[in-house]
Amino acid sequence: MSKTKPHTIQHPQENYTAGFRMPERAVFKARKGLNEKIIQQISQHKQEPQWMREFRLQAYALFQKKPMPRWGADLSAIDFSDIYYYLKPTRQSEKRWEDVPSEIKTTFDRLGIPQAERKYLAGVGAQYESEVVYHSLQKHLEKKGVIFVDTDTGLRKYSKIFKKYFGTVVPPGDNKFAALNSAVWSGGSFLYVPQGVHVDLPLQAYFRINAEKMGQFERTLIIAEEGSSVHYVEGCTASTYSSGSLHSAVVEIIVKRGAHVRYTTIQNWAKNVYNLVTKRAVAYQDAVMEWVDGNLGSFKTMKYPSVYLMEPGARAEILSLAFAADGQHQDAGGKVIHVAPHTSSRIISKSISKGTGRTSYRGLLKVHRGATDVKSRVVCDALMFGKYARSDTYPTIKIDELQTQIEHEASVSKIRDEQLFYLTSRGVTEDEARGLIVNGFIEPIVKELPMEYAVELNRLIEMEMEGSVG
Amino acid sequence: MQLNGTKIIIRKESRSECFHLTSGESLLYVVFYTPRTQTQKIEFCLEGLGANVTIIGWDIHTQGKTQIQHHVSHRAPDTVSRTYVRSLIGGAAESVFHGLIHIQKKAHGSDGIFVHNTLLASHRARGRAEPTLEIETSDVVQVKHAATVSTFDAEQLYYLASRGLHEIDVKKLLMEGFAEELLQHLPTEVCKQIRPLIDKKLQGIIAE
Repeated sequence: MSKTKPHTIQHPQENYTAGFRMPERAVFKARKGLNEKIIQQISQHKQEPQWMREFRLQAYALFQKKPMPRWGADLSAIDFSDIYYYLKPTRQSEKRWEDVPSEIKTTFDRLGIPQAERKYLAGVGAQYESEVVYHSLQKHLEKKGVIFVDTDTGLRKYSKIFKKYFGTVVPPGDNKFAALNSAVWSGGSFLYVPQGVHVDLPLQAYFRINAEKMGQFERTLIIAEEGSSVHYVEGCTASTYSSGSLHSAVVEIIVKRGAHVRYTTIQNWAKNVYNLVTKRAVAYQDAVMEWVDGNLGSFKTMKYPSVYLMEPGARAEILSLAFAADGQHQDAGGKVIHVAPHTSSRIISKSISKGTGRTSYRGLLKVHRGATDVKSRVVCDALMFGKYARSDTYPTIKIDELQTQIEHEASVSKIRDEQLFYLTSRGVTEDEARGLIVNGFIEPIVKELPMEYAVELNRLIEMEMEGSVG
Repeated sequence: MQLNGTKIIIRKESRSECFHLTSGESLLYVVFYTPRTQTQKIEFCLEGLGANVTIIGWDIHTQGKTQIQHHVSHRAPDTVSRTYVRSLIGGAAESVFHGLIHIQKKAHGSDGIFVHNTLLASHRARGRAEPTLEIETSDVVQVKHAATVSTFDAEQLYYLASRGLHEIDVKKLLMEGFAEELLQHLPTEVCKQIRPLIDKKLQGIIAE
């Protein structure tokens, strides 16, 4: 095994207004760009088993072969050779808060993590740069046999379960970015809930990108055994940089018979980050899978959480919220594939575009032949501000079975003058009135969020709405 | 045909075509989609201030595949479009229907509605609906679309059967009701012409 010399890079001294950043203290950072050697290096550095190394190399071959998607957001500006694919900030994952290096701690303090933890969150896995540096899991969860670790630890310590499920929901050949993630993945969460265990508090992991030009390729794997339930919360924030970053995650979820999984995301990447994520779940008999997906940040997002309903009684619910301010393009939505009979699904999408922002709802609803008595409903609402905003709706409905009931509807509107007039006549300023109307518009999604996220989201929306011209 | 200043076009067989509507122009377009090997693109461009178009379409067939691209492009202020399409698919037929309402930047005060309902009348029928919206200005009155895909409602079947109707007759009634609901959007003169055409198409599907 060749030893790679750890080297630090210089912190560029540019000014930034929004966001904040701590100086980097990377222990190991792979060179910019991507080739087989770098993948070997990552794998070696992580001391991974042979099968994972081969998995990565195969995925890399697929990545090179796969074309860029020709639909959705414009991705032509991504330069794959100008990205750091791996960076490890500290030598090992740490569990005790006291041991976490102080500058990382300061960052977390500013994100409000300790308070959140003190309140009612069961476990915190915080991804700082590419490796999870901080982990805590409440004792009673450990006792129940719940495994909640970073994905690298999952591979090392729980290799039997890990190998059984890893890459089964999202195969590396699924799309170009899933292949890229499979080749260079690092960090993310590995969550295993044993049979019949109910995790009553939401489990939370915080993700951050801190190194400039660094891609973040976390990989999350969640397995909910029969009759279990869990709520996983993923929040993303990133400080503002001058050059584009790439975030390309893969999330795989297996919801076994009668289990219930909810996955909540609030994505607030800096406005130069490409956010290209593949999220997919398979739900078995009588299982329920819920995606709550909020996209506020990033430069361009392409994200369509999907659910495969494999056995009778399975249910999928996707709540999608997108907010595109100046220059942003949120191409988000959801996919539900009804493979089995007696399955049901619901997709609710709320999008807001403002300034030169653009939101697109893109969805797929597919009913396989033989999947009888399927019920599905898709509702997309869009709210637009200003002359230059844009909003699109691209739902696709493919039905190969007669005994189904499928509904789709979409509407686009703006804030009406009467609404503003009414509120301003009650003594509310125009900005506040707009904020109120927007908060009302997104309320069906916000009410599904854990409390502090709902508060954070409302604040974010209020900030975004300040000084906007209707 | 002209009626109260509205131009009326009836297509018993659909074909690819493109219409440009100038200021104040009003068009009623009634169409029966025909299965063909190629995709048919029917386009409506509302080029002038206040232009409006109403499109009423039936996609009733038991053989082959209809592939329709139905585009309504709002290019001027205060333009109005209404599209109502009913697909009734029997046999081993397939329907692929792509509908787009595009509101361009300068088309302030546009008002567009697109509704597409599909009834699958046979186990081998397939339906694919792609209603899409592209909206480049927020200054619109309303832009909405809706699509449904379903089959005969079990409760309706039961109710009618309990009234002594034979299953075939029940389905016939339901299909008639489904298809003829769109006639409400047409003036009486046009209805008279269209009703026999729908009946003929339904005969074909009931015979299956």
